[in-house]
Amino acid sequence: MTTPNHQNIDGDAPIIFVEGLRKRYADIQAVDGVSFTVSKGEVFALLGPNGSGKTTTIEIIEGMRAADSGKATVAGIDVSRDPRAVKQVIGVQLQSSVFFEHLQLQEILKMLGSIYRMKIDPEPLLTTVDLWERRAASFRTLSGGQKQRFAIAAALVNDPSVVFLDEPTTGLDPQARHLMWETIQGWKAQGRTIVLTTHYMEEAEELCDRVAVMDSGRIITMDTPNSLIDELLARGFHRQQEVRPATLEDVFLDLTGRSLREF
Amino acid sequence: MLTNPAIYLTWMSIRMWLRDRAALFWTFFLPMVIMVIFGLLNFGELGKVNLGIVDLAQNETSARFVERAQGMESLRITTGSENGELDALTNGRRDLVLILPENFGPAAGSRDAEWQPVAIRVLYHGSRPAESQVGLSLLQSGIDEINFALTGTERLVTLESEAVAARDLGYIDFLMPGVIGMAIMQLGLFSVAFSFVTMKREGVLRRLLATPLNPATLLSAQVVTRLIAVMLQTLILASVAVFIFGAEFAGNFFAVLLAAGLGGAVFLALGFAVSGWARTEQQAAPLANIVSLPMMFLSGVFFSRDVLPGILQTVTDYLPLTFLVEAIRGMTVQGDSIITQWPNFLGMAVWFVIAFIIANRTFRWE
Repeated sequence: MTTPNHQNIDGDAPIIFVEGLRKRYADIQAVDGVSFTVSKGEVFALLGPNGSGKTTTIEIIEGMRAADSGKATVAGIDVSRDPRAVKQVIGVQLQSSVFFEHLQLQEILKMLGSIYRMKIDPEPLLTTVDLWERRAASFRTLSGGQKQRFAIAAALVNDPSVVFLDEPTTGLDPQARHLMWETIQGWKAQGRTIVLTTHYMEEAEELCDRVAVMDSGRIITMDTPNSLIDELLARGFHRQQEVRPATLEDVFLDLTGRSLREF
Repeated sequence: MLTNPAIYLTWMSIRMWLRDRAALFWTFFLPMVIMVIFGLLNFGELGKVNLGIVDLAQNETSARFVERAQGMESLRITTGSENGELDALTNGRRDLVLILPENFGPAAGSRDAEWQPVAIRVLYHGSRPAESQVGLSLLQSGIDEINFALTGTERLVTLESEAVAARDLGYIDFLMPGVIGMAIMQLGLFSVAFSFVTMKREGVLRRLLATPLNPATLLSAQVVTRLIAVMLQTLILASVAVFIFGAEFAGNFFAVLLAAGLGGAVFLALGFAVSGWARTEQQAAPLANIVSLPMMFLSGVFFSRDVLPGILQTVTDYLPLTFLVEAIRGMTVQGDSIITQWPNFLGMAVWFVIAFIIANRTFRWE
């Protein structure tokens, strides 16, 4: 097992500190000794096949699940000791976020705000994800992509310093995915720290300062995307097919444009 | 104030509830329809015995007899021809038919009460022993009285009966507390069981678990919303019964509301117990029905528990809906206070504790 990478961008102190996390479900060791740190302002991704322990790891750090052993702190707060204090400073988008029926989108955001004891203005939040036009709609009437975008807006109601996104672009069309990438980069520019999981490697490459690859509940490697690619090439790896200067996605976006389709 | 999660969540959950057409249907519309239908049926009238009289004598004495019978409160009298009345008896429109023979009354020609012994034929419907029995005994006493009067025998023993209830109580007076209790039970059990199971299954609760929300705040918002609904429901159902059907409302309205609130708390706790156990709505529905259906019929909602066999009466004495319905009925019909109704309030309190413990053990967020 590799030791945690403590290389910090800008030399900032880690805002997330995870050491030796373990979690067992019945006969599966879901998380098997995970350690890493994330610096303030970093975009950090947990990669790995389904069932590798990404979501469980994130949910432990979010204070939604108790670990069997190990330690996690967010902004200096011990998650196992004060999960509610951690929840107060983080924003969360779950793999499938569902919200109350019979409420308008703007009412849901205001209600979530009240949970953080904040009076919030839904307009900028909904505008960022291009849903302001649909502010009076109910969550149930949204399309899959719109639900995903709304979940992102809901993760931001408390103006969090750390945002956790669990597969934020799964199921989105290329236009919406690019909007999401811009949104995440915008948050990074505001100084927020972002932890995400994804199955799209080009997404991790595009967005992340560092990635950790998980398998069977362990982190098997962790570094910047560039270093990991360099390391692989240094071992003599060659792609069988030469990469062409454009991809099918470029073709798709060229044909259908970059603007969002669903409002 | 609006950033206080407890207040804001309660306010929002009231809004959600008011926008939920299904909830409004079950809470207000359905119980009202039940009350109106049963109110219009007016089962109290069914307690009367339908007596047909065929007067073959057609004289002064027979007319007096008919008049006297019409004065009996428990009889509904019709007169007609022999064929017509016997037809009505076979069709079930009469419980009894009485035939006054031609020689009923003093013998023709005699100045004073010169009676020949006379037999009055009574035909009754074999399939309705209860009504027939009541009718027969009423007739027997009526005929005895006539005998006394005619033969001049002094009555040594008389029976003085007195109505116990000072007010004239009808079926609606019995029905109103029953329907109110039933509606509270349905609201408590089903609204919570369904909405929480839905929120749990879809992951709404999980999303809230990712916020610093105190679970107790969410639960209290849901409970307060539904207790407000219980009060509104009680107010509306009682208004319909009192102002449209003229139901009796003897007791203090706020005391009735308090009973309704306590009953609501009992059934909400039972609802949480059901929703904690059930993973899907498909599991919650039959379970909530298993709890509610027997009570709907055995707790004296639509008919008195007096008609139940003895052992069942004893068992149903302890059902939570029995406590609730009897507390409300005691107040609205007899004008009881909370203090005189303490056993029923105690019964509900005990059920609340039991249900709360079960709910606490079974409730889960995911």
